[in-house]
Amino acid sequence: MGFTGGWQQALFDEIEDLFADTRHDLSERLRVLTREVEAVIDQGDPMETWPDIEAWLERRVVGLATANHDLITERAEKLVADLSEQFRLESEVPLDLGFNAPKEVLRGLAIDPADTSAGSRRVARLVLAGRTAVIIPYVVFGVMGSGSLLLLATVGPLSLVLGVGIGRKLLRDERQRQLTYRRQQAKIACRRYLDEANFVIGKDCQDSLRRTRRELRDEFEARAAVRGLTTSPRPRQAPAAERPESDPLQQAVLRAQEAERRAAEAERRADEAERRELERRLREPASRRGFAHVRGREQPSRTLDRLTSWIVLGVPIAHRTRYGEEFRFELDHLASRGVPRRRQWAHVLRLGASIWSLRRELRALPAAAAERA
Amino acid sequence: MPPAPFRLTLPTQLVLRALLQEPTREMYGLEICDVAELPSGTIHPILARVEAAGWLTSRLEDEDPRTLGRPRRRYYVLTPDGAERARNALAEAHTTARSVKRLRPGLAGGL
Repeated sequence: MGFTGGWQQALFDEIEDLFADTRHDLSERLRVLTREVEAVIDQGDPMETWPDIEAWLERRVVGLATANHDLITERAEKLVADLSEQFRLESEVPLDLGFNAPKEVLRGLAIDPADTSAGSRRVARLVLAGRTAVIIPYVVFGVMGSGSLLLLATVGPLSLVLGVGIGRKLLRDERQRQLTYRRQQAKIACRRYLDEANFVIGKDCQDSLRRTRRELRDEFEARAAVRGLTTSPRPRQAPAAERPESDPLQQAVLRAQEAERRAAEAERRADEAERRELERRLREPASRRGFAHVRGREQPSRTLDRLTSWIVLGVPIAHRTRYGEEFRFELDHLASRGVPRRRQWAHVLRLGASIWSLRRELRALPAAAAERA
Repeated sequence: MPPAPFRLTLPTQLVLRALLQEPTREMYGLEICDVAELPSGTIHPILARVEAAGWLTSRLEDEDPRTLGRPRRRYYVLTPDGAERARNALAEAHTTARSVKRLRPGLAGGL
């Protein structure tokens, strides 16, 4: 290509390639990090190691984002040098991609606290396992020895020994099961975090590259104007007769303008798609999307939703749809306003307590009024 | 004017007062709870009773819940005749501040 407006198309293509490459690089790094963090989680018990894993993972993601930025900067510098040389549009303006600091980009992004605690349920399960272990041999040998006092005296200690054995096995299995559960929870929390990090870092890279493209385009345009190329806007759909076909330079400028228009359109579409994606994510329940930092529209828990559906069964069939919708709206309204889960429970339980009076009221309605209601 | 076709208990009076604050404005259940300071479980039987008496009408939101991103609300509003009758009924009812206080133990709106 010579000294023509084709540099604009080249710039657009190169930036697109650069963006695709850096996204791939980012995804690859995150994939490797996911495997690493899962291996780390498997090496210990998240109940003890979770704070360390959390800090380590956050550090690694910052490092990863920095490495990704370095790659983009390096590639972009090369791109500018190549373009300048190819189109003889040497620029004296130093390249500044205007990246935000990775820590800044990742600010507000938090790892969803994984359920790695040793809660009361854990203790309760262990106690249950122990109790089962003690009961089983006593029941078995108790039945066997029920006929004779001597046999009962003999099998009593034997039951004790067996109980201890079975108990140890059950407790060991239960501990292992809980450990596996905690590891799974920790892995899910990490994956969510990495997924969000991918989204946020990717967005920042894309914005920086777009900014860079615009700046480079302006700078190169200025250079091109100095070298004698005019890029003043012309009507895109000029009649063929008026088109200066004899002037290749003018045609090149028109082609460049068209390419620029397409690039702007593509950019606008990409922005729109991104905005929609962000909105979709914000509409999801916080627990599912893993946006621990965004308190968007919370959803009621599935248990409460199910409990509400059961409560509605208390009203006569003809009114179930109506009150089902009404109660579900109320629950959703409370959840979306961030009312604590405890109070949501209180609300639903109160509804449950008063459902019989509503039922009585509805059953007492005369047929015509019931139809109206 | 005929007497109310239902008993004007204290919660019923509070619900009617809430609806009469802006008689032409449609209110949804939780709004009524907030204004009447009664739990949701208490107001639904009352609303059903008042609606059955023809003093009140209700309607569901027209929009699609998927568009709204939440379940639809049911809006309640007093009929013009119902508003008039509710005003008269409340004027005749005797409500002491003490009995209202006894009715509202603390958790406003039942939330």
